This record gives sequence, C-alpha cells and structure tokens, in this order.
Amino acid sequence: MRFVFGALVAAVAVSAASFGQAADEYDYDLVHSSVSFKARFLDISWIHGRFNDVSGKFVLDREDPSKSSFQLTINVDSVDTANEKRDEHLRQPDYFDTKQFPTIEFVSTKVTPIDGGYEVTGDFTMHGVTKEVTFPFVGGEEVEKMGAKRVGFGTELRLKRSDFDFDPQAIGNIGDEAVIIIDCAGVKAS
Amino acid sequence: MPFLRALAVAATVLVVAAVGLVALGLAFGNPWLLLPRTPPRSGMDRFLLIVWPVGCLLEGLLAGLRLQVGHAKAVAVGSGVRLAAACVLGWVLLWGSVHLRGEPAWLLLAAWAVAAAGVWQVLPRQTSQRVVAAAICFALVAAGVLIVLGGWLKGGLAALPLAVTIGLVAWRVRDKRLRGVVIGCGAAAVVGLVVLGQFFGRVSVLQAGLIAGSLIAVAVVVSWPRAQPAQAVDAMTSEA
Repeated sequence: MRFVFGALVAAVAVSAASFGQAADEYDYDLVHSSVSFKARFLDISWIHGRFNDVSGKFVLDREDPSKSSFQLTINVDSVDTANEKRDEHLRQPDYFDTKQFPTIEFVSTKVTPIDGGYEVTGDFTMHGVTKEVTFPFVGGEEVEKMGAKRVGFGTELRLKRSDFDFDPQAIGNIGDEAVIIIDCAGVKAS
Repeated sequence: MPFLRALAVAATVLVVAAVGLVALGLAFGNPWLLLPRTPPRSGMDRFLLIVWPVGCLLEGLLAGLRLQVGHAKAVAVGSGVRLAAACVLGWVLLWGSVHLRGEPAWLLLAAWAVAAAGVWQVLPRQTSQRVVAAAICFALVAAGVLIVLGGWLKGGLAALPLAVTIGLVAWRVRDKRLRGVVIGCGAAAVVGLVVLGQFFGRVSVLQAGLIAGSLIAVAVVVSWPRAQPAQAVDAMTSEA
C-alpha cells in the first residue's frame, strides 16, 4: 500500500515537472542579436542606426502558445548611428531625452500562433508614451547548438515618432516614420 | 496706520498682478518656441509650466511680505522660503528622470539647491538693479548658448524669450520694488535653466558654476560701494 502511494506521488511529481517544462524561458542573446532602426533623411535616403545595449526574456509555451510572452528592454543611451555627434544629439531632450526616458520597452500582452511564428500584441513604450502594437514575430524553432538550446525571432515594426510625442519641430529633416528591425536570438535559461 | 496698511495691500496686489502679467506673456511666448506639453513630462515642460511660474509667484509674495513686515523679517523669511523652494523645485525639475532613480546624486542636488537659493536671494536685493538685470539677461543668453552647443537646440532657445522679457520689463519698470521682483524672477529663470542644462543637457558643473558665480560677482561688485544699510531701505519703505 505504501509502495502504491509512493508511486502515485512520484507520478504526479513527474507529470507536474513535465507541465513545468512546457514553458521554456530564454534570455536575450546580446551577442547574436540586434535591434536596429532606419528613418528617412530628406525623403531621399535612409539613415541607419542600432541600439547596442538590449536585454529581454522570452517565455515559449509550446503546448499553449497563448501563455507565451516576450519582453524587451532597450537602453536608449546605447544608440549608435556611426556618428558620435549625431548620437549625442539623439540622446538630448530634442529627440530621445535619455535622462528622462532612459529605456524603450516592449511587454507582450497577447501571443497567437501563426504560420512560421507568432502574432504578438503588446505595450511598446518609447519616449514615455505607451502604445499597443501588433506584429508578426517570425521564428521560434528551437535548435541545440554551441552547448545551449536557442531560438530566434525577427520582425520589422513601422512606427511614427509623432505618435510617441517626439517634438514635431525636431523631426524636420528626418522622416516621421521609423522602421525598427528586431532580429534576436534567445538562449535557454539554465 | 490703516492708510499705510491699505497702501501696502494695494502695492502687494499690484506686484502680484504685474508678476502674473509677465508670467502670462511668457506663457504665450514660450509655447510658440517650445511647445510645453500638458501634463508636463520632460524637464523643460516642468520648468515652463511649474518651476518658473512658482518661482515668479514666490517673488511676488515675498515682495508683498516685505511691504507688510519690513525689510529685516522679510529677508529672514525670504532666505528660508527660497532655500526650501530651491530644494523642492530642483526635485520637481528632475522628477522621473534617471537622476532620481537608483542612487540619486543627493550631494550634487543639495549643493545646487543652496547655490540656487543663494543666487536667488542675493540678486533682487542689489541697489544697481538695471546692471543686475542686464547681467541676468547675459547669463540667460550664455546659458542658452552653452545648452545649444551641448546639442540641445530647443533647450537653448528657451533662454531667448526669457532674456528678452526680463530685460524689457526690468528696463521699463520704474518702481524699484517691482524691478526687484522682476530680477528675482530672472534669477529663478537663470538657475532653472542652468540646472536643466546640467542635468538634461551637456552643460558641465564648471560651466554652470561659472554662470551662477559670475552673476553673484557682478551683483557684489556693482553694489559694493553703494550698498545701503537695511534701515535706510526700511525707512524708504515706510516713507512711501
């Protein structure tokens, strides 16, 4: 009787553990990821830049994708457009105002599986303004390489800076619309 | 005595109304250049919508208080009020920013509050008011240029309407007490703008200190030979 009870407890524990494993947690892999952006210059060409300091976490529930979640935090001070003076200007209150709004953040609120990835809806906070955005996050296939389990996702977000309360007079020569390109890898948290 | 009291109340109302008119002019002038957002979210918004108007209002009230309680008491109360206001308004300017997160630079903030209160307290009491007003205008423009050179174009632009308004009003106003109020408003503007430039722009502590220090130096130098004892000012006030 004692043996049967012990076996039952063990079975419940194992099944609970397997349920726990259904949701995998991944840390943003800074070395193999990038968050970059581009904006129109005088409506004749594109200016490109990137953020060098990004962190985040993905939780992927393979059995119930709606329980998956994505979170990304960008340190705006790490903006890099390959021109130090322009970067410094972008950090000033005329643009990102990094002393007042040091981070750009995304926190998902709804995840729906689609062909080739997920449709992610969430709160995107930039320059102190939070807007709900929805975008396809393509990828999600797990591979085991370089001693760790990894997933990757990619998307392009088109945002209007005026929607995020950037000074309309400072937008000037740079187009209002900015394209944010997220290509990120996640490493399974140990 | 009732006549003097009525006169003092009337003068207080006049001073507060004048300060209100100046603030109104700037409230319409600054948005044209700077578009402060409501509710205020950035340091500049808080400066234009809260910090500077409150500074001007305090100046008006302190001028009224001086008429009611006399010079010596007003100086003592004014020092305390300005120091307290500098502490609170500095905190308001930096509200929500990285400077108040984690481990805030309390020592730097406290030093700023004391320096701000000092500048604010010393300048309106000078006898050569027009020279001090001109020095404030130059200090505002210098702060604006420094902020622009640091890469914050609109922050520097804020100095222009402030300098022009304060310069014009101080030049046109004949009443010394009212001109003292305008100078107090100017001192609050200089300090606020320099603090903004230092914490949100790229104005260094040394540059900011030079602007504040040069203002005090000008005030001390121009008034040193002609400094009037407090009793004389009191006598002038009571004669009025």
